[in-house]
Amino acid sequence: MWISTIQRNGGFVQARLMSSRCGASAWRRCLGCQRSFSSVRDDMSLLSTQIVDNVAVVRFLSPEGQFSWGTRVWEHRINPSLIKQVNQALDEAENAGVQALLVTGEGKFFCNGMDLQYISAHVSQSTEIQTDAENLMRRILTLGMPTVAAVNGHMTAAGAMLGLSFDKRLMPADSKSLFFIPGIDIGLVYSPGMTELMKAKMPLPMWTDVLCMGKRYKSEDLLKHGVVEATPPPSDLFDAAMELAKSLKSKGKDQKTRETMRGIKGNLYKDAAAHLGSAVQDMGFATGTFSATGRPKA
Amino acid sequence: MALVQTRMATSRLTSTWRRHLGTSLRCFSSVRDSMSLLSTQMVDHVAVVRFLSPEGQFSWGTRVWEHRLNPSLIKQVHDALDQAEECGAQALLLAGEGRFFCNGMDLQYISANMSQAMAIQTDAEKLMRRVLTLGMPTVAALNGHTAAGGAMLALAFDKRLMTAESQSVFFIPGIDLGLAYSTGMTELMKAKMPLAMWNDVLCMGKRFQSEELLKHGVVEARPPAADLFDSAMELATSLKSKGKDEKTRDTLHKIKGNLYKDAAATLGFQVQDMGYATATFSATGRPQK
Repeated sequence: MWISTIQRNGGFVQARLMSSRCGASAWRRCLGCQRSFSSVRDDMSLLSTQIVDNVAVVRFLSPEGQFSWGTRVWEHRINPSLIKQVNQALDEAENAGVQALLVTGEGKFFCNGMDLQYISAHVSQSTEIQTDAENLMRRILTLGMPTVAAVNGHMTAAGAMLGLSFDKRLMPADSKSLFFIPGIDIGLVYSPGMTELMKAKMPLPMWTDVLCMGKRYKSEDLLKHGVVEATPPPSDLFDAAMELAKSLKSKGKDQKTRETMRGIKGNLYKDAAAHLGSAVQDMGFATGTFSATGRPKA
Repeated sequence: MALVQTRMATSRLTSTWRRHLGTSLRCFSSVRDSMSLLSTQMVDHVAVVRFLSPEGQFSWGTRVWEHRLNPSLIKQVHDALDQAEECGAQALLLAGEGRFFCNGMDLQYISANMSQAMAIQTDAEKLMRRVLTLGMPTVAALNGHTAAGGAMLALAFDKRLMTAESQSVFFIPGIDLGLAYSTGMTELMKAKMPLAMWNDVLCMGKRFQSEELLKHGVVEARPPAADLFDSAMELATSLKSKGKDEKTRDTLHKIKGNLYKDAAATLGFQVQDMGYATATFSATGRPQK
């Protein structure tokens, strides 16, 4: 019932604030009727959208179940459906004239990377999917409004890159959530665009460890490097992120300011913006030295 | 106004300057638009340039003591640099006086001379490029507010010291005024601030005090105001060996040219209209409603 409501009101709606305390369990109870099924509809809504006090709030949903190709929905992996829906949400946010963007997820994952199982099942589309993913990263990277990611869980691989596209990240303290980019472990070389994005959003001392060594980081490490803004307690993550997003609204306050923001980001992140989505080299999906779940083949 | 060997003008003597200049000027609200905006001295092979801070305003309304970048100041700084180079100075120190180091482009001048907007921006960027790649160690003593184009100019120096006084702020408010930075300005800022600051400075116009700048390594030290000039002189003097002779200065110029390649290649070139013509800012630099 919840899902059909979201689909009917496809546009942004003014909704009561969904706090992390009441929202998640209510959603799960609502979706309880889904528990008997292992598969979800492949075209289901993967995110919810709201405007709260001129801040566009996008949440990756976390129902139980998996797509027909096997990927668990709550990993929020990047596949054509998620890319399309995020782009739609951004379109609506821009049309509604919001002053800031907040994206978050629920559960154990913020975003666990490219949907490798989808790609394995559609190898002929792999370059196209990678291009679309990079275009989405570029869009967020240069979005004409302040952007905040409330990183609720694991942020890995292309999901980490997506998270880096945002202006600001918050990630809970003392959580088991990890940030890492394991291309080296699964035989995947980063494209020039991905590389420039990572270089533009992480300080130099992190480059070798992240790109070449696939090092794993917790939120405290990222705070130390300035890659996350703050590490609130898990139960405060959403509220802290909202507070931050609201505090930045003046930097997206009207159309002129938002245009200026786009112009500033376009120059600031010039190299990443020039390469993301262009010259997308085959990252090796076709040669598939990774297993479809992203673990290196033995 | 040639470089002269003078007795060292300590920060205590600046008050003498004010008294000298003040008596005759205080009766007038306007100053001569062509007046000297800076003093130049050579002190033990360090070229010392000071922005002067008389009371009064130019005919277009800008207060002189804001040390804003207009054609007069740009020309006089170039002249001072020319003289420093000709006299074989081994280091450069630039300091201001009063509440402002440099409060940015002279927006009121530009508003009154809109047809010159691109030329002035180009000249300001070329000055930044010149300082950025100058063939001698350069030190800026940030005595006060360092904002917008003034912050960029300060970043062009090798070293900055900033007064510990809490009222002085460093920020670059393009986002608030609808002014997107040119490619050259962007590269300069990226070359001189650590990555962790980029988004906050360029996209959010965040305000920084000396303590935070010290933490990020953007300033070398934050002495009390009374010690700022002497500390800056001490630093400049300690770096003289890196400008000790013509060969060394030529080497430094080339090292900087490579180190700051992207900024040097774009500052003063491809100067896009920053939006002065569409003027969403008021001439005093406050956002229009």
